[in-house]
Amino acid sequence: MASIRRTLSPSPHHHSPHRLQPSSSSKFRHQNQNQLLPPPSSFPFVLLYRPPIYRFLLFFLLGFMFGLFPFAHLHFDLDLDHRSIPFGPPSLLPRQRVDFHSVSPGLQTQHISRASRNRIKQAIMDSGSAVKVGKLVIAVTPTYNRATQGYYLNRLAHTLRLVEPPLLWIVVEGGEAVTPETALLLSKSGVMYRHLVCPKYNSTNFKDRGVHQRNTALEHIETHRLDGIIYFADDDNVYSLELFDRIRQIRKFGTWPVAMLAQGKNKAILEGPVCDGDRVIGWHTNEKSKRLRRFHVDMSGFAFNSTLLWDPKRRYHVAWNAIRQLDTVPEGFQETTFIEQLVEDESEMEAVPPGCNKILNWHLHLESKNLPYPKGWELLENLNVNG
Amino acid sequence: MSPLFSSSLHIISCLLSLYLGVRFSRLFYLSPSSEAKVNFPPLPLSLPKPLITTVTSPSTPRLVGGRHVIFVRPWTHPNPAETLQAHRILSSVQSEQRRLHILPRLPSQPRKFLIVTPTYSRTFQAIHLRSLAHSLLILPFPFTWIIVEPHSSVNDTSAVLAQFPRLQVLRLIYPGTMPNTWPQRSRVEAQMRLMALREIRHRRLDGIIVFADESNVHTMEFFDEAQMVKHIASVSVGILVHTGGLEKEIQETERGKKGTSGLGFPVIGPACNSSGHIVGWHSFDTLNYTGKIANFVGEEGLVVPGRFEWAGFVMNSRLVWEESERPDWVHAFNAVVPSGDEIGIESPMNLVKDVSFVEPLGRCGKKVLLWWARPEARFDSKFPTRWIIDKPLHITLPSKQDPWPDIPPEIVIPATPTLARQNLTGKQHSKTAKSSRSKRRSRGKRNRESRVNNL
Repeated sequence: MASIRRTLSPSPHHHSPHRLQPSSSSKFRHQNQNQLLPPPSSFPFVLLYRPPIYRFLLFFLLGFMFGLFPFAHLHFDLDLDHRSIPFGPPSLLPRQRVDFHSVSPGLQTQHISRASRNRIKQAIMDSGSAVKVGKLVIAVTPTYNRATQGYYLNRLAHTLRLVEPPLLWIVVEGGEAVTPETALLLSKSGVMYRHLVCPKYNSTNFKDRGVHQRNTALEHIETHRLDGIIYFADDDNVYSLELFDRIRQIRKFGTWPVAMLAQGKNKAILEGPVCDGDRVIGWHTNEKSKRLRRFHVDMSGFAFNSTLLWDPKRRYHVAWNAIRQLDTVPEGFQETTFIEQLVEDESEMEAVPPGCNKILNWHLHLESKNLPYPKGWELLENLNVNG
Repeated sequence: MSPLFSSSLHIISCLLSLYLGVRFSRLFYLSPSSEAKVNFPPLPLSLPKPLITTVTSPSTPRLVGGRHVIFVRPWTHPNPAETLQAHRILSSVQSEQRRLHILPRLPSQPRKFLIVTPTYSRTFQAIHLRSLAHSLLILPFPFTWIIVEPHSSVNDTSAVLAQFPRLQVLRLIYPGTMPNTWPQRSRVEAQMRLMALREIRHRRLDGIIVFADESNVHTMEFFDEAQMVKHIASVSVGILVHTGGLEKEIQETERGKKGTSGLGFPVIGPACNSSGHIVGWHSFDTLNYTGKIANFVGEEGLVVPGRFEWAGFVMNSRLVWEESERPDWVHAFNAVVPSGDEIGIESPMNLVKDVSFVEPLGRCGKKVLLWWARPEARFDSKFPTRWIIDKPLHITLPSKQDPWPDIPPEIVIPATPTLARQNLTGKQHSKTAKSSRSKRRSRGKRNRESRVNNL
């Protein structure tokens, strides 16, 4: 007990000489001086018997506990894998090694030639002399197994493959574990990717589809302090290559108009910022019912610096909680509530490209939910003749 | 000194110690993690054992993932330079893998692709054409992209293609216009493809003809397999029937739900027998889908393919050459394709006399290597020319309107407690008059703010 007191009590003194300053000017002063007169050995004990110091200590401890709270939800939460930040990887794939010979006997005879080895070594050597490294682009894509997954993910993978590196593609799959279909597709994509799983994903609830998955990615980025520009690239949209070049130039938060297309609609709906040069001066949207929103932009119509997630100096809100998408808000308000956590107002936004006069990506509403399809689009038996 | 003053001092001191506690706790928390040093294990250079993930299905373990362990850091490196290095290593390892495992199966000399794509100007043209261009740009084989289009769409197509100067494109003008209904459109597209074939015949272009439609998505395996085609081959096409609207769902009949033995699956492709020889075709069965079949392009309703899709065929260009050493089971091109506007053939299948000579690709049609879909906006839909906004968009809501409107007069507020801004009230101002005024005001405000920030 005594040792605790000894360690704790000097700290307020040490850290805040000015804190005791006001009390010395008050009527406590005399008492203080009287109490401070005894020999230094009894000094901490004497302080503790004084009621105000008790209270200060109590408040100090209270503040101490309070200060731990914002980190607590991140690292002392249920997720123990993420807690040990740099000391261990997050568990991603439940992987299992199988003897290769039993699966594909034709390939095992091919050994790595010396030439192959040298070429890879050369590539590693060369990569040491990097020229000018651009900002990392972190594309976050929620996905789940469905008939159109191959169509969408392949299309997006082809686009991302062409984007100038460094680019990291974080694919978050909804469900209990990664599915082999998605894993195979990603491994062939040639893009640097992370394949995460979001167990919270709920396929029946259409409203918050993607919210938990994006949060899983945000958590991953925050835990590993990935420094880049985060962009929510849903798999069913179409992106131009220019967009990714533009995203890379964003310093804090960039936004641009997006074309919303749907089959059977007779007009392409544009939604997003109206800009004057670099500045956002207003918002354009066609949907009257959504005018209540603060920021009128699609989920694929903005990108932001990932340091906003963890660097308290760059955040607008000194928030106790992490920046996440909320599953409690109604559909259509997801984007605006998320952006409100990131920036205060339009003055902190950057127009992409200056003037916002180009459509750089297209949001498509196209889903075939109940389409029957073979698992992984791979049939177990031959097709039969019917035509 | 009054007791009031002393007690207030006391409270201030209490708050100060509270604040110090918060600061101290952060100090306490952040210090260990920043000191932590991380040691990465060295990169393995031997490409050792293959990494295979098994599926939990009890019967057949399936190969998933790459053939070798590509060493992956336990987490991504936060430093972009390191990430860039990882990119290079990844791509070099993948190209070595390809050199080892894919290229030996392919012809030693890569063959050229002749990619035939009909197109026309419409809302989705830029989107589809761009996606296809992206796929072609990562193709590891030489190719010529033959684009056939009506005269009216030349400018729009050029605008898209201008962004991809690396592509080698041969453009043909179709003398006619694209009709608005699906049956007629597919007819005109067939004529466009035949036009491309005649051009190939005329110019004696050598290579493998691929019929890549704009809105289809191809896997890269498709092109690997297509390299191995001798004369004419067929591949399974996954059909993505869609209604467009999210709210409308596809009605499947009981027959469609069965889905065993490939019957109910929306796949067009070669049907093989157990010994791996082609015996016929599996075509798309529209009976599996009830509901309205769309007639006009972009109309709400089901968009279904024809019995055969050109996209599912790959052929050697020598089959259509004038005097070629084609096998005797192939019809002469002139015999089946009339010179005028008539179509003559429904699909490249009509070029062969006997089905059994067609080579089935993709494990005898069991693997779907490309997907067919036709998402389109309505044929008369409006969109900004070349997707460039010439004049600034109408400002629905000015930025940082002060006070920000709480309730627009005509709209009932939905239940959004998180969004309600109770402390701000105001009227919605008339749009056009407001916009310039608020622009000025917000600009002044912003200047002030930026000044403050710069201090």
